Amino acid sequence: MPVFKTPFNGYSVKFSPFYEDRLAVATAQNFGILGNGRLHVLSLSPNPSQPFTEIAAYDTADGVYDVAWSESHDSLLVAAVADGSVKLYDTALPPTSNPIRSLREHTREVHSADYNPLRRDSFLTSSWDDTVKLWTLDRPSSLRTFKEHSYCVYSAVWNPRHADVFASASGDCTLRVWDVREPSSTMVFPPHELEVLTCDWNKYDDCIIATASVDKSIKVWDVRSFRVPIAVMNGHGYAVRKVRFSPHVRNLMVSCSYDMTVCVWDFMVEDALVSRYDHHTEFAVGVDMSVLVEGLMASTGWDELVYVWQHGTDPRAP
Amino acid sequence: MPPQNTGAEFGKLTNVDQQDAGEDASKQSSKASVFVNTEPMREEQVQNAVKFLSHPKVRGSPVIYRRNFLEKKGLTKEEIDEAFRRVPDSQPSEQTAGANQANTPDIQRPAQSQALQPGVSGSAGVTTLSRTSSRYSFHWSHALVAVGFLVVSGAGTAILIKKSILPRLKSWIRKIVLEEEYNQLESTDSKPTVVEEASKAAKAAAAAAVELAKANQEILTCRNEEKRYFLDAVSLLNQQMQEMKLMTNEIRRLEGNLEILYSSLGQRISNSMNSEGICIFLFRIHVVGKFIFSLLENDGGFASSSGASYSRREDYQVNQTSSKPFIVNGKRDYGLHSVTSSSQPASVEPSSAPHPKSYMEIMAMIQRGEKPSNIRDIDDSPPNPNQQPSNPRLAPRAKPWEVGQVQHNSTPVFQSQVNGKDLNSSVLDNSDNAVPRWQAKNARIREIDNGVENNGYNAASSQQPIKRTWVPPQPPPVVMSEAAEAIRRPKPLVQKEQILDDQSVHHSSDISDKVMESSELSKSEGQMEGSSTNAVLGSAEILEES
Repeated sequence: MPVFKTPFNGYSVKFSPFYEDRLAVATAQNFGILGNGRLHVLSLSPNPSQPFTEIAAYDTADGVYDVAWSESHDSLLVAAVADGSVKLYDTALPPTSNPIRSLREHTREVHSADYNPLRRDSFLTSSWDDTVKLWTLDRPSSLRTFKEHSYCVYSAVWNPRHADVFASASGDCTLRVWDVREPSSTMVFPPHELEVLTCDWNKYDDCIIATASVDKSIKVWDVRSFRVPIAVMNGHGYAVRKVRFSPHVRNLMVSCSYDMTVCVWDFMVEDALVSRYDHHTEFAVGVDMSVLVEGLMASTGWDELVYVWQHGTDPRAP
Repeated sequence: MPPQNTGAEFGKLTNVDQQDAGEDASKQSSKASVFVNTEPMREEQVQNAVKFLSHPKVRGSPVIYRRNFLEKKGLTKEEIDEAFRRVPDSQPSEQTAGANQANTPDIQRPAQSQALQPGVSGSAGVTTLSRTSSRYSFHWSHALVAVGFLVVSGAGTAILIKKSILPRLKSWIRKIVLEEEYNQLESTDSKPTVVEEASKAAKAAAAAAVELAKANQEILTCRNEEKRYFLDAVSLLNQQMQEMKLMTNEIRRLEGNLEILYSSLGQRISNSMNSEGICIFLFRIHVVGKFIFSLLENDGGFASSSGASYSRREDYQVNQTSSKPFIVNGKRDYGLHSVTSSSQPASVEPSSAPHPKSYMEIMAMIQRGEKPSNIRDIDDSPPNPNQQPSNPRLAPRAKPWEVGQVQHNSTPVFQSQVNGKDLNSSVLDNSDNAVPRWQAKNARIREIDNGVENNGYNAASSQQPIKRTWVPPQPPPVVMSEAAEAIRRPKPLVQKEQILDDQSVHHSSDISDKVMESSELSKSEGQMEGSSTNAVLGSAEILEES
């Protein structure tokens, strides 16, 4: 299984929704504390001696914390940069023309970016300045700013079935569900006692959302009855950094944690842990499952490595 | 032109447009309401929140932190808003309520009387009056209860006094009387007691003298014993001194041996280590120096420069994890938990997870104000801020979960690969016929269609070769971005979608039975049997399928 070594510490990895063999990796120097950043666009090749080819690499002045592929343009990327800017890159244009946009509105680090999979023309960015911003490609300024959280918003994710609904997970220990047509959030509840680092919607059931937190647990909720979680998954040794529901299997989800492992869970089963991958030697901070290839997953971490492997196989196998 | 899958919904759409709009609007709103809290307000929680908000310390904090505290406790937005409404002084409307209260007598809170706004609108006055009247009834009932309580307590105390204190008085008086009688009796016996007292005193003095003598004797004996012990201790100390001298001599000899060893190994190690490794080793050496020979188990020595300095480092606390060989950039020593600053919020999270060693170093450097040396000045601003993104080469692909579901998007797609299942060739026929039809509609599609290749589809990968079969139409460029519309005009958006829906309906309006068939088919996962019918219908059916 291919391994790619990035010069900087990995922060996020995302598969392209257009090409089965393409993925983007967001990296930041010096663990993202202080330093430059780089956005890699990699292509998988069947050639075993050179499993990865780098289609493009873009340097940024500050670390890149997250990346999102456009759903409308196969070559467009949105990068969430630690200096508060949101940058758009087009891999089809020559590197000297990139970035094509630098949107500067957030006042603090931009932690996540997510593209609307239904409307395909807008995207969200969430930042440590407690806000979530909605943008479209054709406008130089944001359409809306959602300011209700009282601490860093670590993640904002669109609902895959409702084009105007999204959820945001914040360090103020709450999860908020928003509708862009409403002036304020439509739901708010505290899924964890500690900071909520990530959230993701279930792709097959539009009311199910998973959250994970510093308290090392992953909880799956039905927003219609949010007092009690559907499932609680413990098993990580440290804070869980990211969760993603599988695009192909209803109950499957993947998570990565500061305990350097990537775990796959089935939340409808009593013994939820399906598999555990401990290929990283530092914090595993980014994980993704491909929407085009069933079972293909990628992860990255502070050990500067990007692994791409098929669920059920060993990521470190050659 | 979002596809409709269920027959029931399609039946609705074949009816009048307005009905559709109404129904779909309500359906939309009912769908949106799934993401809204439907629980009734919990009065207990609201009252707890009111108590919390009324606390003086809480009053001084910003509103957003108060809200966040209540959110963390699990209150819904409605409950929080209700609590804020109930607590005075936190909203301006509450202060105008205070203005109306100033006119009425008696029960008032001093805080409310301060905020007087004479210009109050009529409606606000009515609402505030109703609120104040409710408050007044509150106060009156409270006053009544208080008065009743006072009366009862007063009566109770009076009864108690009568019952308990009066008898005590009587007994006290009797005591005094008795004491007086007794004193009179005793006064006759006063003279002889003086003599007795004197004799008693003399006896006591004698006894005391005897005791003193005894104590002195004891002290003397103790002192003798102490002297003996002291002498013993001194002799023991002398012995220990001699032993220590012997040991130090031994240690010096061994140190000499070690230095010879280190200097021979130092050259080899210092070449392969970076400064980080040397730091670690200096720490390790101090600890290891106590266990002289265990150092030889490690894979190296130390940098040749610091000969005897390691012995002076006595303040570092290092957890010696293991004697694994030290790998540069590999597994790190997780022993240092000293630095846990929170200059960035992200670092607060992993405070319980052991950080890599160089992470700690970088944090320490930044705290000291130094900048890590590997940072470059990069100008990442866009060279042309108005650069247009290049035209997409591929049409958007359907997601695996979108197969066979209703969508409210305007770009329906047909998924060409479903879990590696084979696609019938009939589908390809349909696509070939379908494409020209849609091509005529929009010139852009032709461009995309020609450009569609198996670009990036590797047959060598474990997946089956994918063939792009059908290119979905792009939305007309005239249409504004849906998101912008959605925000500005929610209702028209619904109608706009309805218009698009209707367009798709017109295309397939004459094949209602076929659609029923295909709607059943769409329930299975994208299987394509039975769709291989007329080319004209093929596109619409594909719409239904996806």
